[in-house]
Amino acid sequence: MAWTYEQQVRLQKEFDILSQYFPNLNLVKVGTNDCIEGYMYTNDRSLYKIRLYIPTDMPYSVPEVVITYPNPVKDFYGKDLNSYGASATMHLLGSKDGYPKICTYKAERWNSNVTFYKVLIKVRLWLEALEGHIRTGQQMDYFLQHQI
Amino acid sequence: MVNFIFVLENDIRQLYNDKLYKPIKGYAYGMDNNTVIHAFVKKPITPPSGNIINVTFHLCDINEFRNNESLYDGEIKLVFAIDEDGYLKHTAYSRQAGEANSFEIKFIPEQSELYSRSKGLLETSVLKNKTVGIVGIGSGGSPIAIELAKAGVGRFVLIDFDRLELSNVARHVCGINDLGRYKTFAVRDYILQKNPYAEVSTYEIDVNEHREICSDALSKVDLIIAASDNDKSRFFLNDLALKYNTPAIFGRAITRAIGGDVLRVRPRLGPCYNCLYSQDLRNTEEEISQKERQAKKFLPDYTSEESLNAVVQVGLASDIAPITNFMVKLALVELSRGTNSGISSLEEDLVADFYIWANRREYVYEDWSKLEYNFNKPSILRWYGAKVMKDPDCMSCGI
Ligand SMILES: [Zn+2]
Repeated sequence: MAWTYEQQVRLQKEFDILSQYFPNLNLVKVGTNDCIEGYMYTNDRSLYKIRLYIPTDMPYSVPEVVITYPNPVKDFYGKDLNSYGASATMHLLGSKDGYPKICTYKAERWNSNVTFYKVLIKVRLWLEALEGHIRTGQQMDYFLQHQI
Repeated sequence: MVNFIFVLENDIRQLYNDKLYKPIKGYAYGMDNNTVIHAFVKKPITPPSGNIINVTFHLCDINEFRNNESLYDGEIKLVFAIDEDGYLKHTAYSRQAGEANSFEIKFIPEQSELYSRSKGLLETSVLKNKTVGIVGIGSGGSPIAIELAKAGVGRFVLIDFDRLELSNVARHVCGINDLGRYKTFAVRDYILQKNPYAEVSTYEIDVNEHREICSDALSKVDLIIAASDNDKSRFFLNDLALKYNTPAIFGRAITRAIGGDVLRVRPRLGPCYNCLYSQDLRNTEEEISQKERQAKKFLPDYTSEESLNAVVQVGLASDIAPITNFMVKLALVELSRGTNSGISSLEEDLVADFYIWANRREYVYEDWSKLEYNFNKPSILRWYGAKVMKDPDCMSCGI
């Protein structure tokens, strides 16, 4: 997949922002997909690895985001998040490449002004909500308003 | 009784330019008991309804014209010649069952003449050479295309992958006779009915899937009309408008057409579609046609139009018309900008880039005051211009 000139310009803008706020994330190739991948720490220093698939029609689609570490990601009950499939209360969209896919933006609320940075902020919030769920057993909904 | 034969002036001009001094078989269609006939040298893209009739066009020299007495049985012959003073002479006749009939030839003039009544108001000579790209040829895009053709716009690029379905007919320009056809082809034919000299190119593609083709198709247009039914395509069209520095007009109706909004994008001079979105000024209520599309996915194909409408609650054509009509006005202002036309004063009125319209006091417009005799409070059935600033951090038009 070759990026168009406009997409290259946009990617440069995206990476400029990311290098400032998420310097741990890198551009990697997963199969034929260009992805942004790297580690994120939650507030209580739990470590997660996330992967954001850059959509080939960027910036017109919501990027898919999965949690690749820990593997499997477990819930309060020790259950693999993959087993939820798509779940509104857990803010999950099923699995991709064997990893749980998390909900950041709804497709109908997506606009091309949303940067990867904003998506990744949502990912950080999602991870905090997961931690809250693991701590208390409350559904993730309790910690997250439905992502818009 | 006088019978009429309508002929394209350009057809005869072409014969003369090509020096085709010989009888040529034409194409003709008789209506109303063959008292009205439309005749063409070349087969028209959009033939009129009616019976097929045999006709012959014959361009001859003026002496032959004056002495021409060879009548063809049953066949209509149209004879033309240029006289000594350069005037076009013409006559048409036929003989059926020994009886001679004569017809009066009426010429359909060139485009500029066709729209001469708008002269002074619109710079028809300017509009004739303008190209408008319309993406989405549905209940929004189809009336806009036709209105622009009526105003004298001469060139169109139509993009839509949808075919005309029964449930569209109530809100679309096209009718039952066009069922199953690509909307682009059907609307092209309607444009040609208003202006047979219009140049219309069509693309039966999904903008979201064939961005490169769409980008090429719109690279040389003078104005983009974004009448598609989803935001994804609009963000892309916004980027194209910015890339090509081409003005664009975005419009939509919201649920049950209780109202709608229109955005004009003049690249770099004002906000873009993305700027508007980031400022959260639009009602996020879903759009009609998108809902209809979604509902259709879940409803069986044999669902009647009635029950489909009950589910998706589409609006009436008369509720969509004010929105498309306003888009046409904005389009004409953009296309005529700087030409000192009769509508130039509108440039001073239409300074806002974003406009809101309400059809009924429902939902987001619930609190609006009743129209009654008020003219200084927000009420239905009036346009409101809103000042929208350019977002300096906009990912599309910011630096
Ligand atoms: Zn902008």
